[in-house]
Amino acid sequence: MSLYERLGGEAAIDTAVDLFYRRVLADDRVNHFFDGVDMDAQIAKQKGFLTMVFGGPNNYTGASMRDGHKDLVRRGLNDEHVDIIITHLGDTLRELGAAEADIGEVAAIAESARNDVLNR
Amino acid sequence: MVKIRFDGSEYELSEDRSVLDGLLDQGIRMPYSCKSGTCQTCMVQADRDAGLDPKWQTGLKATDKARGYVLACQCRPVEGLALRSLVLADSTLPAEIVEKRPLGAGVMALHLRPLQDFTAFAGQYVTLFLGDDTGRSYSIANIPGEDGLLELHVRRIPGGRMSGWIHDDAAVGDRIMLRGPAGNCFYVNEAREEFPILLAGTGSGLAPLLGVARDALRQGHRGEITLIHGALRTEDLYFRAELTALAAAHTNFRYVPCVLEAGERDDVTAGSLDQVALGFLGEPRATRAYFCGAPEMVALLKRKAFLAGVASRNIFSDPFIPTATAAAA
Repeated sequence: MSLYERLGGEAAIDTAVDLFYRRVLADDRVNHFFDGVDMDAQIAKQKGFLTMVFGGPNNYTGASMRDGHKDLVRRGLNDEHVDIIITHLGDTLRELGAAEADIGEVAAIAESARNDVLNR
Repeated sequence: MVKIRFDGSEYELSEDRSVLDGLLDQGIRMPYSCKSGTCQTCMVQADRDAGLDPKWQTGLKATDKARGYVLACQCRPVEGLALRSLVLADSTLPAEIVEKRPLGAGVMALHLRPLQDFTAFAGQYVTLFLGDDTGRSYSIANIPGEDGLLELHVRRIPGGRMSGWIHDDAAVGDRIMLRGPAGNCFYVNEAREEFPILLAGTGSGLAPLLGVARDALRQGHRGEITLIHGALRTEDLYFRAELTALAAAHTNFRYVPCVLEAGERDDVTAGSLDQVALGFLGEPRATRAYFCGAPEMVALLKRKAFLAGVASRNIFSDPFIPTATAAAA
């Protein structure tokens, strides 16, 4: 069984996206990056992100990651913020009862996007 | 191979691939991104008469499902399937003005009779056209299916071309072109579930909220319906007597006029709309919330309701796109 299937696939992403995005929006260290962003559009993007880090079918490329975060890097997005997002991701999965080994795998996939996200 | 229709033309697609991939292969240009059923970029409208596989609608809002929206990347070709891109889904038709009624606070109720077949949900919006270059969107405050009319609330914008024409020049019997319907601010509850509904908005954002409330009540909605109309001053509110009467007639409907700068003798709730609205959020997880009106307030209400626990799929609002300059409004 793949990581994506173990985590519950598409249905799990539907549940996880609200829990995850709510944690992020409630965190003053990172929520200013989402000011002025339409929530519906953002939820759709977060679903794409979760699909990727859950190891699901996705079309994410390094280039799209770089483009998507260029403005945020200009506004001060750094390693600390990426750490916070990865922590919220882990906490969301814990809340959903995922196994620690799977949470580690998800964190590793998210980690692999770090340099693209930070445009380095 | 299977024959399907897309935007009126016929295409032969292989059953083993998604409709999106099949159409892209044939050189059709359509928007897409994730190809995995999550980003919703490739959403198209399907003919509801054809059987729609629920898998094609995974993750969509109930209102999108009700309109027959499907994700092209999840959709498999089946014989007789007819799809339309969303930009072409709306039609333009003439309508006749049958009534004009001032509602107070600079708002005019405009009743239109579409002169061709037209169906819409209460709370959706239509765009009216004056000449070729002036189009403005207004939400439907009544249930069009009941009497075949559309009730729109038009607030006068200083120097506004459309609102000025409607307030000052338009006469009963005049014709105007309208396009639509669009938007997902409407009531849908096919399973007849019981849940609270929170409606909050400012200005003529009342129109879609009223449409949703009227439709929910007509369909015998079980669960509390709370409508909060916010304004800066008490005189900016309108439709108070009608809403008060509606609340008196339905035990599960509550009307809360909410004013930021309330006078001592005003019979309203004083405070900012977002705070007052959140105070009525009793069971956030079960609540469906509709927010309309000034864009900043709508964004604030959406965020606060979501943080308080309302599911993102249960928050409905229409992008109210303000015209670039007041003079053109």
